[in-house]
This record gives sequence, structure tokens and C-alpha cells, in this order.
Amino acid sequence: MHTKLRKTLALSVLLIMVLTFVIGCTIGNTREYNRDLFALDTVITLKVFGGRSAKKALDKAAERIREIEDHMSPTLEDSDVSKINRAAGIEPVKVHEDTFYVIKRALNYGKLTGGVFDITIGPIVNLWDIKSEKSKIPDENHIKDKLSLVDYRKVRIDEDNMTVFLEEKGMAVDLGAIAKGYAADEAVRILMKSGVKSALLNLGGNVITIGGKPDGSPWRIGLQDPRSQETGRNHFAIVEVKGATVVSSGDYERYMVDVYERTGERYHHIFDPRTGYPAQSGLMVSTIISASSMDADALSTILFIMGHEEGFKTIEDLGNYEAIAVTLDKDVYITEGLKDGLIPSNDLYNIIEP
Amino acid sequence: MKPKIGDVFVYIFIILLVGLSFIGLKTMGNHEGKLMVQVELDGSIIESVEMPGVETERTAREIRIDAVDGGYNIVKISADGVEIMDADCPDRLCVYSPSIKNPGQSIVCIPHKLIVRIIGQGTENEALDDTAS
Repeated sequence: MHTKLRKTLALSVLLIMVLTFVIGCTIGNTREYNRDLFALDTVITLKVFGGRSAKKALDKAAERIREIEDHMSPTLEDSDVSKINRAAGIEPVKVHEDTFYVIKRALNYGKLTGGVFDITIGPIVNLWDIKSEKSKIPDENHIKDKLSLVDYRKVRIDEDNMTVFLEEKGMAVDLGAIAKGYAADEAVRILMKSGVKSALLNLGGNVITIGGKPDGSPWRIGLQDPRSQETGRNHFAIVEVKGATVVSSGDYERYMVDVYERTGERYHHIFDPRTGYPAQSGLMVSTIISASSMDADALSTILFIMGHEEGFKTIEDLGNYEAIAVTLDKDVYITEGLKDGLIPSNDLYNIIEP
Repeated sequence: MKPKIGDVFVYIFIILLVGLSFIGLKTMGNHEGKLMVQVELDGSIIESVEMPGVETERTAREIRIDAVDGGYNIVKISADGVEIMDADCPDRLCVYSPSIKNPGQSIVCIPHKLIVRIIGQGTENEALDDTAS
């Protein structure tokens, strides 16, 4: 009798031990790997869940982001962008596949929006020089001068030879509104190819997710309150996503606001290619939720410049994208698909049913 | 009846298991409610200090961070929040950045590859994984 009891006990304990071991190993296999890097003129944080292969995938993704920066940075002398700009009005420049693809897509967005999205905004961006401490509002005539150089139709691309040519001297492309999105899409592609099923990436505020959290639930993403300094709140709402990207464009990003607010007016960094001035469409922030981060990057800029009515029309015509537009009066407009998807978290903002 | 050697092993194992879980719970519980200020330079954490509580007397302190390129940032940590007081980076945007005090917030100096973060559990942020900005 005693022996039998003891045997049963021993067996149960053994079973528990084996179970603990197995469960422990399964959990141990899905580890969290983190990486911070400074690239594309911003901070990038990559969080990947998975086994040892996930760590390798993380390295590869980081490397790929660096590669894209090498090609598209306006500050690196050997980048494709610098070469194209130096050769403006002189000769076509052979570029990497990445750069060619991004420019081609960007020009399509230019066509789609009749120039509201224009990568030849470079001369205006440089004139305002938002990053410098001593920057001030440029003189109207200077803005007019530089604005004559902004025209996406004067970018000639040659698919067979992979070259890009800016027709006029002084023209300059700036891929700032789309390069981060492309880098994010590439990082996602590499991670997924390596079998990563759960990841959270943040490229300077652009959030990109692969799958849901390791437990299968969606990621909860806060949407930055564009007036957090006044409201004391961090977010104006929350969205839950799985395998989607959330990209915002706003007038509050630190590059601009504090430098200029001393003058009392808010001169932010998203320029309207039609005026040469920071866009004034009545929005503080625009957000796009979609599968592709590059599209979201471009479309959030487009929505911000166009404003809520025209912007929503353009986006709804394209399909497949959800959008949020927050006006200066703190009204939050949302597209149909977000009716049940946007979680209110801040009573200072008034969500308007579509 | 004398306990067998196998039984002794099982007892030791169970005691160890209980002990370990207890230690684990304690360490995990330790950080609850506390906010940490984490300073990260070029991808690695170089400072991690507790944020002074609001109730305690002002324990403001300034930390000088020597950046990779020879430059510096002065980080001020107090019960009122964390801010960058001075820096010799070209844009000085970090100095213009408003002070932070909620978990999840950060100040970044891109030229010096510096991130100052507040880590911990907060009310508004608690259930959030990230912020799109």
C-alpha cells in the first residue's frame, strides 16, 4: 500500500517536473529582443519576439535600415539623394534600386495629388532650415524664388538605366516624407522572411507591427496628443492593431515647434508645395493606418496638407486605408473603418462619428 | 518508515521551487510604482537612476553626459521632471524639448545619439505598447 502510494506520488512529481520543463522551454524560446539605432535622422527602436533566429533577423533588419539611410540621406555626401541634387540641371545620376523605387512611388503620389505631395520640396525645406537654432521666417521673395524650383514633373526617371535627373539647376529632392516608411516596410519584409511572427517597430514615431503580441492580443498604440504641453496628456486616443502600421504627421513634432513658438506662431515642418509655407489646412495631426508603411507615410503627409475633407476623399478613393484627422479645434474625424476601432482616451478631444 | 533518497530529492526540489518563485515575485514587485530615468548613449544604457518622488524633498541633480563625438548634454532630474539644461549639439533641440515626467516619454538628442527615457508604470500609459507621433 505504502509503496503504491509512494509510486503514485513520485510519478505525479515527475510529471509536474517534465511539464514545468517543457513549458519553461517554450516560453524561453520566445524571447524579446530589442535594438535602438540612430538612422534616417531619427531614433529607431526595434522590438522583436521569437527564438534565436529572431535575433539574427533583427541584426539583418537593422543592417537593411542603415543601407537605406546610406542611399537616401540628404546629409551623407555619397548618398543617391546628394548625388542627384548635386547633378541637378547637369546630368542624370545612376541610383540604387531602392532609391529608384522610392522616387518612382513618390512621383506617383505627386501625380495622384496634383503636386500636393512633392519630393522636389528640397529648396523650400533648406530655405526654412527648421533644424537650426537661429532659423527665422524667410523673406517672401526668397520663398517665391525657391518655389519656382519645386515641381515633381521636372524629375526625369529612366527605368532601363536606373537614372534620375532633375531638369533645373537648384532643384533638390527630399525623401523625408517617404524614406522612413520604405525602411519600415523593408525591415518588416526581412523579419517576416526569417519567420518572425510578433514585432513592434518605431521609426521616429512611425509605428509598425508584425502580427499581434506574443500572446496573440493586438498591440495597443497611443496616438500622440498634438498639444500635450498644454493639455498635460500624452495621447488623444488609442488604436489596437495587428500587423498594421500607424503613421502620423503633425505640426507638433519637436524639430520645429519650440524653435518657432517664441514668435507666437507655429511654423511646423510640413510644407505645402503650393505655397512654400508650412501647410495650413486646419489640422494639428493626421494619422494613417494601413498595411504598407511607405503608403501610410506619404498619405499622412498628403492628408495633413490637404486637410480633412479633401484628404479623406483622396484616401477613401484609394481604399484599403483608415485615416484620422484632428483639427485645431480638437475635433477628431475618422474614416468608416475606425468606427469601432478608435478607443477614446482623452475627453479634451471630440471624436466625430463618420 | 525511513524516507527514501528519491523522496528527499523531491522535497528539496519543491522547497527550491517555492523559494525561487518567492524571490522572483519579490524582484518583480520591487519596481512597481517607481519611475526610473534611463540614459542611453548610442544604443547602450549608461545611467539608470530612480526619479525622485513628489512627496520627498527636492533632490534635483544634474548629470553630465559625455557624447561619443566629444560633446556633452546636461540632464537635470528632479521631482518636477527630467529635462536637458544645456548641450553643445548643433541644433540644441534637446534643450528646447519640454520637460518629461510620465513613463514612456523621452527626450532625444539625435546628433549625440542620446535618449533619456522615463520607465515605469503609469496611469494613462499603463496598457499601451507604443506611441505613434
